[in-house]
Amino acid sequence: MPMRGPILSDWSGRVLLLLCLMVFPLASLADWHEDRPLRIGVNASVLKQHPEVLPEWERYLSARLKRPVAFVHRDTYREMMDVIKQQEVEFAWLSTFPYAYMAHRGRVKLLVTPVPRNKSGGYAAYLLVPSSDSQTRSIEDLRGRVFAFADPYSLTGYQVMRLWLRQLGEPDPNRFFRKTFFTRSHHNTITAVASGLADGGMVDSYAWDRAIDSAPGLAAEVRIVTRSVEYGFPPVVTVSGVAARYAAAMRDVLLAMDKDDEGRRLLQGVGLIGFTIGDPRRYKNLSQLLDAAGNP
Amino acid sequence: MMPQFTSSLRYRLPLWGVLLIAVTTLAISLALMADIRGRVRDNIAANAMVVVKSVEARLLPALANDDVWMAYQSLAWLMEISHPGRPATIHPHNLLVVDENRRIVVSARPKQFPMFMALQDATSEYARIVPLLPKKSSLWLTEIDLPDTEYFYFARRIGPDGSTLIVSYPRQVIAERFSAIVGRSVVTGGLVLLLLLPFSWYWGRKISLPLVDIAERIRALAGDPLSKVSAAADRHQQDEVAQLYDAYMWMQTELEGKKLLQDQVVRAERLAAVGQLAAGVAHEINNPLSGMLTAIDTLKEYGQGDFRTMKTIGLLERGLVQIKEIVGAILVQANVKGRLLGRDDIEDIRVLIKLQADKKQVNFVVTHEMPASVPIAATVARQVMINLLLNALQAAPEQGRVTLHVVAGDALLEILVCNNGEPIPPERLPGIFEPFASKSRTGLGLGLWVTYQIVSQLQGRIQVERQAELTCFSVNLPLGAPP
Repeated sequence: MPMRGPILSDWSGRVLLLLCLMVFPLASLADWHEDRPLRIGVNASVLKQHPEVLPEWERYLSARLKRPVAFVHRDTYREMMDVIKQQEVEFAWLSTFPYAYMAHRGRVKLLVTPVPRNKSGGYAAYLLVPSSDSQTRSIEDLRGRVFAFADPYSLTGYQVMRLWLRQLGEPDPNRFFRKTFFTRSHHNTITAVASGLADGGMVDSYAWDRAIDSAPGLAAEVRIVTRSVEYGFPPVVTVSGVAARYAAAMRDVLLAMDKDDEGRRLLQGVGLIGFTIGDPRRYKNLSQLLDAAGNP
Repeated sequence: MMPQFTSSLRYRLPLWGVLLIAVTTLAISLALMADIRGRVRDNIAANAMVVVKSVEARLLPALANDDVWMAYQSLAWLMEISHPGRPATIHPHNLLVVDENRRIVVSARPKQFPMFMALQDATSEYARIVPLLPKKSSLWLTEIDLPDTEYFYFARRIGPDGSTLIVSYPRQVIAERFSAIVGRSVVTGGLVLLLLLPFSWYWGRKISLPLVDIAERIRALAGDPLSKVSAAADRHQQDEVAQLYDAYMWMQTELEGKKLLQDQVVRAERLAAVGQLAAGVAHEINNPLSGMLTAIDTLKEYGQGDFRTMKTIGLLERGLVQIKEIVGAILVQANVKGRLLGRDDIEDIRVLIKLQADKKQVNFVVTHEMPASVPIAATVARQVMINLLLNALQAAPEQGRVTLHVVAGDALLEILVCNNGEPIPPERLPGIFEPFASKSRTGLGLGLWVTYQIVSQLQGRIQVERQAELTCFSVNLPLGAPP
């Protein structure tokens, strides 16, 4: 057989070659696994306010974790929950209600809780009306008017109102109000109320604080009518199925962020002062809402 | 003042120039402004089309999904695009969508035009456009332009259910843009006029003033040809106006010459008339005079008078002889028979006159170019020369100078007699040859007149002129056939 070289000349050489060929992809598989970026899901409203924030966070986290980090953004909570269900991300910064919803179904685990800049660290819903409306004192005054929500899965942006309405004996917001619509973000809700598109809207305290900072003029055009009770701040969660060591690494990096200048600067950019260990007890009072929500 | 203002070229020409420029500038500006006005409207219509197209892309799906926020977002961005540095850019004032019942579904200005408000109740203008909204779908926008409105509107049906998108533009944009353009035109036009008008006025004057000047001169010339008009301004170009000036100057010169000639002719005729009269009288006197002289002769010869009678007769005779001489001087017979003038006659004259000249110590110089004999009567020629020389001697001062120069040419005898005495005053010059023109102690004032008569009858020419310091009389006598 004239065309075969020395290695392939007998069957032992062929087996050896085969083994070598098998090891090679296995080896690269392992490396590849380590080099694959850690993906963190975020809600798009963060992007819209400060588009330069996410690349800076990516660089910071990548450097600390010694692994590439990529943010994955989705517009609505529904899309975010889908992305988690399909395990297209390892972590996510979820709004409170979607967290409770998905934690209840075992899809996510609490990792760390961000601490916002307001003193109590708390998180509540605000009912807003345009500042030109000085008559409205409570939800009842908004019967038959146009109302803006942020997202149907938003705790503060929707679920709290549903709770309030149920407490008034009105189970269906669409019948209580003349017209409701979703703006996709809390900041948009503030804009909708300020511009007169809606006669009232629901936002959370975190979005409110950020709006005051970035667009004080906008905040001056709306007025807070009532506040809800405090809820747990939207947490950073680990998607179930992610290896514990990755979760631990992420947790440590996030908890240490407020210890260095760069970290503090990035935190300040999104209105936070740090992260703390996630405490599930702070999210207990969501169960009421979960019952009210049923099975969306 | 007014008639002069309107009829004189000196004002009319520059004024017309100015008027022409102003009217042209105005006409062009107005034409441009009308054009621009149309353009601005076209720009707005084009802008409306672009806005509608770009809005619909997001608006239609949002409306289909009943997504209020998205629908609002598709309109709201337009309210934020006015550029602070360019206030007059075209952009819509408001956009809104109404359903088939003409209730507002969404608008770019929700505070003024909230959801569910009936368009009828929105503003009086919107109420007016409700019946004019398009009833059928179309690729194009329906333009709604009502009189006395602050805005004008474009509308288009965007859904099969009859929902309609309405875009409004403030008329003020047109007015602002237009007034900006008008302002610019006025300023530019004003500057152009400011620059051109003085030039036009200047050029108008430059052309009209020479014409006016010529007109005035011709007017003066018509009244009195010899009036002294100041010299014309010196002209550089050889344009028609300069030619007009040259023609005028030539005409003036000709007229002056003609006038002088006329005066000369009149004077000559007058002198000739007087001469004829005198000749006639002399002739009449001559006859009885001859008779009387003969009678005296007879008395002298045959008379036996005493001393007193003889003396008286002598007195009578001398008186009559004097009369005869005077008459003889007047009566010149042209065809005098006698010898011809020669060189010797000149010498005779020199001797004769020198005697008189020496009495006054006057320097008398004779020069001549004379052949031996010249075909002209000697008597007559001598008489002319002697008369002129005696005149010159009288005029010359003590130790003055008198000259005689005679040249015999082919056809003419030229005589020139000069003296360096006081020049004849200019006002006496025209009438110098008239009888009794000058009264001196010794003469009768007839000398020059007689000389003139002789010269005229010989068909010659005599004139007085001034040559340097000398007053000269020059005579040309034609040399004729021998008598």
